[in-house]
Amino acid sequence: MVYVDKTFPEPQFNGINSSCDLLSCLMKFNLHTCLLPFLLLFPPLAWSNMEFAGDVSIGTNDNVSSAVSGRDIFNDQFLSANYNLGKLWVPTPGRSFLLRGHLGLQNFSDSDGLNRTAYGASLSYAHRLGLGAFAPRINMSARADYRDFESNNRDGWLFRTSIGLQKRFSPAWHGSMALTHEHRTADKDNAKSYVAGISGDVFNQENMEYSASLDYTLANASVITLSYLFRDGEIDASTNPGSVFFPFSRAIANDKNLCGNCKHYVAYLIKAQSSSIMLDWNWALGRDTSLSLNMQRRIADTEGNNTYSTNIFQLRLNQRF
Amino acid sequence: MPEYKLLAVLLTTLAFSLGVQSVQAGNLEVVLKDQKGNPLKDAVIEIISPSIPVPADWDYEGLMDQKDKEFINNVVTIVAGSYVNFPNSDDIQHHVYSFSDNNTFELPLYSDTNADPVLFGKPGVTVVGCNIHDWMLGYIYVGESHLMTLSDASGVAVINDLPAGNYRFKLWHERARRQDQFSEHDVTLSEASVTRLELVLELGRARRIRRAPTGVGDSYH
Repeated sequence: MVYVDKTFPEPQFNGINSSCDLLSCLMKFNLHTCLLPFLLLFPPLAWSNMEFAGDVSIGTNDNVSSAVSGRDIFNDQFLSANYNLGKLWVPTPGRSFLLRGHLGLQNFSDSDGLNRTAYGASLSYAHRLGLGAFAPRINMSARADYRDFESNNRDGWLFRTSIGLQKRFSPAWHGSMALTHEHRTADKDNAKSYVAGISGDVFNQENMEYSASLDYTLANASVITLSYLFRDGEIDASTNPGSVFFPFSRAIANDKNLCGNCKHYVAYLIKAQSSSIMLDWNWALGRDTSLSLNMQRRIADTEGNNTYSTNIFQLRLNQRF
Repeated sequence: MPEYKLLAVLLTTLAFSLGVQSVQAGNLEVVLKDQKGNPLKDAVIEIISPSIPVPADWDYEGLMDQKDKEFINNVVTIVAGSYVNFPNSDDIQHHVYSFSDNNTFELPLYSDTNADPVLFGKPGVTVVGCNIHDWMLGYIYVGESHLMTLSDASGVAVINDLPAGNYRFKLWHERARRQDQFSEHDVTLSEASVTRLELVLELGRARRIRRAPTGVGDSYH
């Protein structure tokens, strides 16, 4: 059923027509300048719906530095918290825009260089192809976060644009797939080249992600989610000098601030394809509260036929206000 | 004189019996439990036989409010031909709809009490949802008779002021197994003031769209 509500005019973006344009705008101007047109355009359409959500988690990562060799691999525990404040607009039935501000913190027990604060914003658009909970939905989003690490060489922007499709098959079964482009920037001046003549620009990276997930709600209202993510692009890893990866590295930089015992570590950039499988078991603790146990295994194949593997376990408390 | 005495006795008996007849109107009390012995709330009992006309002054109206992104009193009983209002007590808009065959309707994006009442002309159960908040779920039970009621939190459903006699009633609950939906039951109301009946209804699994978040990234967006 297609409904046309003549009470609300179609939104006109006057030059900012897609998430890609938002991204290019963000790269040229600051966040405030880019989001201002959206903020100005929506209020006339608006009824507003604020949402505030957050999560706090503890976890462990068995290969924090993404190393391949036993002597370079170490695990660490982390504590993280993420908050977002969003405003939802539904200008016409089945079409909605969500503007969010994000704040994230992550602290590792030993790997101080990876401790970070992240703040940013995202704009997403959802379009239901029909009426009701079982109608497929197309989602498009653009997100920009500035990440401030304790090791300054990693500081920079993370831009993600994605398009996805979601479909609920029954009250219990729900599936989704998405295509995401990720662009990570870092200030070249903060990365000190390790080898003369080879760039030290390790943390400027491009990636494409292809993901699919399926979730199932059990009779006790807990949800099991199984996800697969294929990532094609570049990764960084940190290791002691002399790694077999150096011949394949596109950039190498000092990374002595990664952890207390990493005085001689270097970070390098390498082309890689990685696959991640994630299992999440989520229990509802209340109407808007839940607890998740999350297990993730990531395997990356790099140039030179080497393989990284990382396992992450996480316990997360989710709250929507 | 004896004839007059006999007539007087007969008239007195008739009057008494008529009086008793009206006093004999009793209450049907159905106690509902699930297979585990738990009280069954929000089950509908509707008398379907004998057919008793709906009183002329019957109020053909129903109400299903929305608050905190949920339908309040999410099971409402009405007589076919009634209008139901869907006021919105949230400070956000809702988009109420139903795909049910008996009463398909849509109330797109509204707030406060700005939606027109909806006519429910056909008997049956109309499942109601919100197109923005997928977990919102309500049921409008549209009965053919006005003699119907909902069970309370202790699983008790009461229909008052029924004359003694044989009745057939329909039982519905949102979680009843498909084969048990609209199951029919017979009961004889005696001259006692309350006729009590206990029924056990086997429930299917509670399958509905979950509201609680699964992660910081998710939203009802």
